[in-house]
Amino acid sequence: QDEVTLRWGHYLPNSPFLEVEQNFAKKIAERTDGKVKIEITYAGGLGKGNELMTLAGRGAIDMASIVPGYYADQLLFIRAFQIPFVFDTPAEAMTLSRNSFAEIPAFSEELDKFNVKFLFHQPLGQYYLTGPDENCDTVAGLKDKKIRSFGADIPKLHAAVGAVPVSIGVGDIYEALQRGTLDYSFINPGNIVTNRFYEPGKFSCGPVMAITGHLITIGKRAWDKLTPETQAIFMEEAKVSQQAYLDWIDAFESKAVEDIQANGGVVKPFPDAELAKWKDMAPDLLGDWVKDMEGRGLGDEAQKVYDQWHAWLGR
Amino acid sequence: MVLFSGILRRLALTILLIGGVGTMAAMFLGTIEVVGTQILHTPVPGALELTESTMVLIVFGALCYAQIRRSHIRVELIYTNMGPRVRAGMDVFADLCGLVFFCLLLWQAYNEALYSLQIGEATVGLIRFPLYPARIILAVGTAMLILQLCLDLITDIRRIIDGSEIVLAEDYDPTRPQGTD
Amino acid sequence: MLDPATTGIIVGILLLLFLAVGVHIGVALGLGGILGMYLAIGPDAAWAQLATIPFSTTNEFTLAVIPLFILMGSLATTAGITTDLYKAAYNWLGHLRGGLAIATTLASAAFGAACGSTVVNAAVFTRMALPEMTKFGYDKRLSAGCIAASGTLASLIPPSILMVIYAVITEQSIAVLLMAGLVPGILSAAVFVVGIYIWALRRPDMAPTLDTRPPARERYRSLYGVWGIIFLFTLVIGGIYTGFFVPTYAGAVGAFGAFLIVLAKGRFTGKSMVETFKDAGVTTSVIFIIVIGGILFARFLTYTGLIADISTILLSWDLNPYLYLLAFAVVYLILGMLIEPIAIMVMTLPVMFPILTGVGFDPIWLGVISIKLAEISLMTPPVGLNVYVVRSASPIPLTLEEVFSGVMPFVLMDVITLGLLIAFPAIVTFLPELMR
Ligand code: NA
Ligand code: NA
Repeated sequence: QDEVTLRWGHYLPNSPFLEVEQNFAKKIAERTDGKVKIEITYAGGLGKGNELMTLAGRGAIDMASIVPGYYADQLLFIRAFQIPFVFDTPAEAMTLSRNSFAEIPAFSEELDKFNVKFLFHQPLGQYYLTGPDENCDTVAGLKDKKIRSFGADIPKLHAAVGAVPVSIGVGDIYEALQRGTLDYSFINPGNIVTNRFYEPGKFSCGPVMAITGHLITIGKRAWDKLTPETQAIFMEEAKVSQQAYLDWIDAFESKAVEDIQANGGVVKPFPDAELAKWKDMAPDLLGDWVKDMEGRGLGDEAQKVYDQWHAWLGR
Repeated sequence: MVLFSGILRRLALTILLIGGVGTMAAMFLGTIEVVGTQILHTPVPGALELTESTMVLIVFGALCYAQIRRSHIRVELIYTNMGPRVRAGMDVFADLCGLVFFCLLLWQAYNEALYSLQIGEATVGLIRFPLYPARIILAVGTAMLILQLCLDLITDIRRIIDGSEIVLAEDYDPTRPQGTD
Repeated sequence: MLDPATTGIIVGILLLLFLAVGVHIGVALGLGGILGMYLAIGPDAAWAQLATIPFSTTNEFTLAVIPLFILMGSLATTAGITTDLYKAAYNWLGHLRGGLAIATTLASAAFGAACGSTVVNAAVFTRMALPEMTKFGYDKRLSAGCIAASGTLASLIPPSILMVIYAVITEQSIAVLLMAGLVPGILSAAVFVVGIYIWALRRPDMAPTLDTRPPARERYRSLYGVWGIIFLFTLVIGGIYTGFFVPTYAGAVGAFGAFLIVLAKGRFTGKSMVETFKDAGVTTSVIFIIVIGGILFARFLTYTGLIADISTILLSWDLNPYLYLLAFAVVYLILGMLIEPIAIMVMTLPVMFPILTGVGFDPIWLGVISIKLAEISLMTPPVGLNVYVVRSASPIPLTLEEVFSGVMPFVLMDVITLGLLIAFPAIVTFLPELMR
């Protein structure tokens, strides 16, 4: 393997959230005796979230962390990993991701079209409702409440229980909770701690939902510069990282829940019966996705994914 | 050439007004969104995403018209202290640099617009608005700017020869200022 | 492929050359960035970045507030708010020593609450106040200097385009930054007023006292015209302060408020709207071409790693924090002699911001200091954008030298304000802290 430095464009700022991805870069350098160096550029320095896939595919950067939500018309299958109420836990989501990329060609094929290759998936912590009012643990209590929302599917989830989905950026949530512009934020414990949302919103109810995060990918041009041995190291480490990420997220999020409580926040479980009620009220979002795919001429493939996922999940 | 620049000015104004109407739409939509969310508890689906996209319309819609008014900002340190012929020469160089930059930009923007149209790219939200019109305006606005830069190049080369000053379009009203920051 | 340092030097020299011969700033930065990426990374990087940046920059919710703030200023101008403000200030303060200049300063500061652009502010008041002051025997230098200087207040008093750009580059809360500028903006105006008063006392020949004063009825009637700006101020600043809406929607609501005033004053015609769109469109376009070019250039710098290297080296010296701040101010003011503020921020903040926050300066306070430095650079020769604007918008003959000599005392006053903001950071931080 010749010496090569790979540029990894990340949309997130450098933070403890990215420990596993940073370890991946370190491990690659170690195992290639420093021949392959990976430099991560954070906070959109080399491209914003909605540019990174194009940039990696065209060889402007070598690796990218891709958020499927930015590419809703390109990553038609992968988008399904971010549909709410499909998975109950991050572990379920990660298992499905691993199986899908291994056994259903449609998933990696749509990345092929953009000249990028899948390495591993980021799990996200489960979502909690956080706000100043303690009644966040019943479906009835959420009626008419303004809840922070994003993307195409989560608003449907909120609307299903008569809540008002509000699209605002993470940076605006703190003030919005404090001023009552927002009744509840909808985010994972790690973010609640980082942004101190427990200050304006004492009560956190959850977990309510699990979806997956971004994809860690490598551009095909960069990939082809690696020898088969190095490529094998990448794939091995990717597998290790995906599992490490899952273990890490569970530990990290449990710690975050403790931190919320240590800082005076109150974490209330969202009862199973209430969650079941919510799921009944919500539309079949994965089914809606199949319908949308029919309109794009991909109905059969999507239906196969739908059936396979239900089989894997045992539902 | 006079006829051509007249037609181009009309087109530039038209596309600028599309951007203006787009910004007004963002203004109404944002206001309705605030009233809807805060007072009526019913937000406007897709308000945020549509607001983003109107910005493309105003920036690239007004691009050509800004050049017609020669409003793009430059460092005038040396420029203002030169005679008319040297200034015309500097303008020619600025026109050529602008042509290179915006031709490259158009080349890329054209491909992006074409691809966006093929996949029916749309905003992400409860309602999905198509994104390709914004991408097309980006390419069309840039293309019109390139035509205007060609006209300006001819004018500025003439100015080197006859030493005359820039004459701005007759509808320029200096009491209505523009500028940066 | 060339090594980063060599490419950096080539592109740096070329950029200076382009800027010197008058290539448009956005084009010069953009071409520099593309060439740099082409040489240091390769054509793929250059073309792909050029493909994604223009759309992603103009299709971004946080930046979408800028066109709306600009539209708000244009609509407010169309509504005639400036004329009303000036009339009221003139009726109440005109008879004082230096009163006309003080009236202009205060009216201009008040219009800053509707207008985010210093250049627009300066141009509007040049047309309106300069002939008036000249008619009453004010020295041209004092009049022009006062207009150019008080025009810059628009960028501290919210809404402010410069603040939004700072917030986006440094990833700070736009709402908090906008609020942080309010008190320093008012302080700057107060320092100007005191300065003008002292100036007029010492040189009564330059600012003669008016012997007539409008009758009380006329003075009170002119107050009626001020409702528009009070309405907009309450709407936008009140809305942001109470968190009733996020800044982008503040832009929408503010523009809508200005639109209502246009309707209320019976100024809504097809022609007036076309003129409004022309102003707002051209201003927005001109700003964003600079931002797009600036981002292309910044991406090139990020690729080369030069920014990270410079930061590491500077931080390793472990100097007194105020020396870093001084270095920042000097760099800013030197660049400010040549380039306009948006381009300066896009070029310097990626390097300077991590260093200055790293040695312990508050990012919000730093934002206000950056804007204050930008305001000063809008007045300093040889390139002082506001000075140029006053000269070119002036209905009476005026040389650049006259405006520059008139604006110099105001630069001095601004340096005093800057000193106060550095000595007493609470002036900046107490209002945003109240929001928390
Ligand atoms: Na302002
Ligand atoms: Na200057």
